Amino acid sequence: MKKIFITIAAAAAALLSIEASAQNNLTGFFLDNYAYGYKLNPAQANDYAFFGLAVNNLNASVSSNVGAGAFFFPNGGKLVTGLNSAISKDQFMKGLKPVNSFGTDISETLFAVGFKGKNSYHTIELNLRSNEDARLPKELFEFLKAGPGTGTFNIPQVSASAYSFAELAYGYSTKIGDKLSIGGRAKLLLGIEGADIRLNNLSVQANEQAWRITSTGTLAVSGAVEMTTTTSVSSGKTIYDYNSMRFDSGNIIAGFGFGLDLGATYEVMDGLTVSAALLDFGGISWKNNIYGTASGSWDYTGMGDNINESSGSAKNPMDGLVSMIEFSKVSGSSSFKMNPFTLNGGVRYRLPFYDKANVGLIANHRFNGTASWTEVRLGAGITPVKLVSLAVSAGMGTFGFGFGANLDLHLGPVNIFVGADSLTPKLTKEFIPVNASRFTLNAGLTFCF
Amino acid sequence: MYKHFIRIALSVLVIAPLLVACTDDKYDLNKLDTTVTLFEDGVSMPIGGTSLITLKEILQQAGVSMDNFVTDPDGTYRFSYSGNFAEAFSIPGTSFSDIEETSIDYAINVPGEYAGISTSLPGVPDEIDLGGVFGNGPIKFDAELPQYVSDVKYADVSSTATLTLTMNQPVYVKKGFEITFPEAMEMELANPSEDYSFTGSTLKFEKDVKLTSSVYTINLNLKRIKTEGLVSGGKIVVDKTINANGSSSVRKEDYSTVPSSINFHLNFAVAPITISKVNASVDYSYATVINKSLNEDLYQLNKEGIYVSFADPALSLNITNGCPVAVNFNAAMDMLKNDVVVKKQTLETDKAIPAGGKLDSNYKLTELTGVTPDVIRADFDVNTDAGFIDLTLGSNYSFEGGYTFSTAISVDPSTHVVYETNPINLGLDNKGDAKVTISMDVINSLPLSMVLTVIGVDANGNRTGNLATSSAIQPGTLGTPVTTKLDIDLDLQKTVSANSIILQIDLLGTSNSTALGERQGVQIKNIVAKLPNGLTI
Repeated sequence: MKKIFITIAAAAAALLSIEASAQNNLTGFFLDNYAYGYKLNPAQANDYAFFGLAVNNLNASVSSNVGAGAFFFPNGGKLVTGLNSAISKDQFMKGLKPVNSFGTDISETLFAVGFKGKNSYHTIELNLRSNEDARLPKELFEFLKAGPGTGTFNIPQVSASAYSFAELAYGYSTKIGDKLSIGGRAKLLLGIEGADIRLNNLSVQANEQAWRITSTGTLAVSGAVEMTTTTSVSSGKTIYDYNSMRFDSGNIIAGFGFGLDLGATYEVMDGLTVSAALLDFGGISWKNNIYGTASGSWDYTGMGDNINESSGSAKNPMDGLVSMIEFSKVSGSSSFKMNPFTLNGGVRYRLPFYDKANVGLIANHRFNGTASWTEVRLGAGITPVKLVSLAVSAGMGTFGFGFGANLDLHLGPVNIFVGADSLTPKLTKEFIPVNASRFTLNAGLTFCF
Repeated sequence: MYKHFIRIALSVLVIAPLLVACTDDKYDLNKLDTTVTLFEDGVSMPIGGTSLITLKEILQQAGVSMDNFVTDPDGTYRFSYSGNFAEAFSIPGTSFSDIEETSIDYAINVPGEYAGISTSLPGVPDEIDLGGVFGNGPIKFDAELPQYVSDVKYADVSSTATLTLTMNQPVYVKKGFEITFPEAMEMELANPSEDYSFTGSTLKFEKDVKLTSSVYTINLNLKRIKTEGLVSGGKIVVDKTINANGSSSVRKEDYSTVPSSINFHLNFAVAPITISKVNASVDYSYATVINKSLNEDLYQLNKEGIYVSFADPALSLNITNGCPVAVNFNAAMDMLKNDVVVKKQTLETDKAIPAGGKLDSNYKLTELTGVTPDVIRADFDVNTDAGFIDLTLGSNYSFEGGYTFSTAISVDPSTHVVYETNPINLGLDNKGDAKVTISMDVINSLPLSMVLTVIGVDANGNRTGNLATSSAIQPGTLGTPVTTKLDIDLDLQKTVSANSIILQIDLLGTSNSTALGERQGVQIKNIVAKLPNGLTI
């Protein structure tokens, strides 16, 4: 039992503790001379050509609709978990969301080039990307905290996934008339590693007569990972043995896919531009070299009427909970997985009285199932001197309120930028946000021509 | 100026958020207390139950041999112990290892006028009768017999005898020629012939037989030695003569070779004799005591805490007197405790069992009912003083028998036996304080009071001590089992974990002497672990 809890807690803590993060840097929407503005809207074109290699753009984000403060509680000079008896059930549950999601999205641009064409702008990129998210329903913690009660306790879907892939993108934007710009990016996606585990509709009945645990679930792993099977102690089925997991064999290319970015900007009036974009729309067909299912019910009515003849390894009530994460091997399978995608819209107004500054608003919605999130961000940018551009924003959304700031230095042909969204005012000593947050880090170096 | 303000204001707005972020020392994961309590509102886990734990299983776990337990058709346990006893003796055979060869030499004179004459001469008789008795010679052998033999009558033997006639001239033995051996020797012809017969102790030629060869052999089988009256000082002696009576002749065709005398030689040789049987009289006196202690298993029972009383002890005996003499038989059963006979029941006193007779008896050991012994011992005694009786040399004689001690068993108040279940894995690995209530129904059909103790076992299989002991479990009977509901509260603490538990049942004796049976035992059902405040791990 403790293993289960520790696994859940560790997963939550691990996701919470990823320090480098940020999906697209929304504050960059307000930043002048931002070389990668086309990532927010592919219709956006730079006034210059650029080239970046290796460290030219790191974009990472971690988002959680709950913070460490939902799981950890200062108590008597110590820090305890919500499952500590010193914390009441109500106190623990109050800080949890119906679905507690944790997600990361990291993109590292290995190579990027942008250049002008005739009434157009072209970009070519090679990125390494990864998406991870976990969704733990509130009922799971309620079950662990309070127990199953006397009726049927239902726990909605518990899931976790992690995908990494290479993205080769070509972008094109052009102006149609004086006001309208459109653009798009086509992306070839090569899967590297993929893993998805989910348990659906877990229900627990527990009373003095019997425990019945029912659930269905799937486990899919792609990439250079292999795992052997063993025989389950609790169910007797042929199941995957997590202890045998090896990362030195399997499929080098774990899947193929396609993605698309589409965007448009329109200058409504002099200095006022509205924009909209659809980003990362697409997915990958993953070739699963590990694919298993968990299904059915696990009934426990005791160890039978001959416990005095059974050995110490006989099954016990807790075996049922362990069996939830036992997946029976299913022969060959591939699965198509939609990547999380984003829809954003913004408006930006360059100040008529000071054309080196702008203000605006951007609304962003990330489509990711129950881990979807929305944020609206109000911001401003300024280029007080030719060498420096600054932007600042404040947002409100699924993850609450947060500040953001960007800095861009133009040192001749060298362009250095660094920025973050949703700076949180309170962190643990391990720099884990205490409250719900979406923390995004964006940094890079490009050469502009 | 305005532009300057805007420039400064926006710069401050950008930088300010970077300054407001701070770490909160209260959220230091290095100080995280990982103690968690699961299922704080309480949870119950069905554990299961035991099958019927029979008295036999209980005794087996206690290391008591159940080899002597049998089950009656009605399921009642019965302690049964069987054994055998025998007293045997034999009379060995004997042999004559050194037999003397007996021979007779006799010279026959032939009239001189016929010696060497031609058969063509006139007046030569066709046959010259040599007539007369050839003579006799001694035959003698002796041997030691067992010293208790006082009057030997016959000795059956297996041997061969050879009669050899030797002469230096062809001789016609006339019809009716007899060779008489001692009457003590019964013989027969080994190779029957038309030339002679053997009757009684006499070999008789049935026609004239020309003994042309130098050696004439007759083979005989020696069957029995008639020895009556020949015993002297423990030795058997045969001392008689061989007589040869009749006449012989020399025929005309042999005159040319006839010497003045013919030497006739009888040689009688007997192969070594083994006596396999002989009827003899023995001065017989016999007495023996057979003690059979049935202590081994009973001692173990009592040693391990089960003090067994006998509900209806019985003994069956079957004895065969293989001796050629009647014997007197005595039997008694003793019950000992601490090496002292506390009860004794006599079963037979000088019971006569005739020669070759049997005794098949069943005894109710009513005087031993309810006794709780350390040792039960059977005393069997057989004796006779028959004087002289006839026995056969080379035969075996025995007095033998079997017995079966059988009784239903019950236990007495001294009984105290501990039975433990195997560890029952609850999957609990307590690291903090936890209240656990183990509830169960105990169905008891044994006439014994019991208490149940819960023993903790940690994840490494090590016992963490007795966690709690139940109230008394009421005794029952086979027909009326008694169910006792138990709620045993375990107060688990950090130092007392209970990944598994062992249920230890202490069986306490009772004055109720109800017999114990196969279907009697204790069964635990509906074991449930209740954690009203959850489990701290």
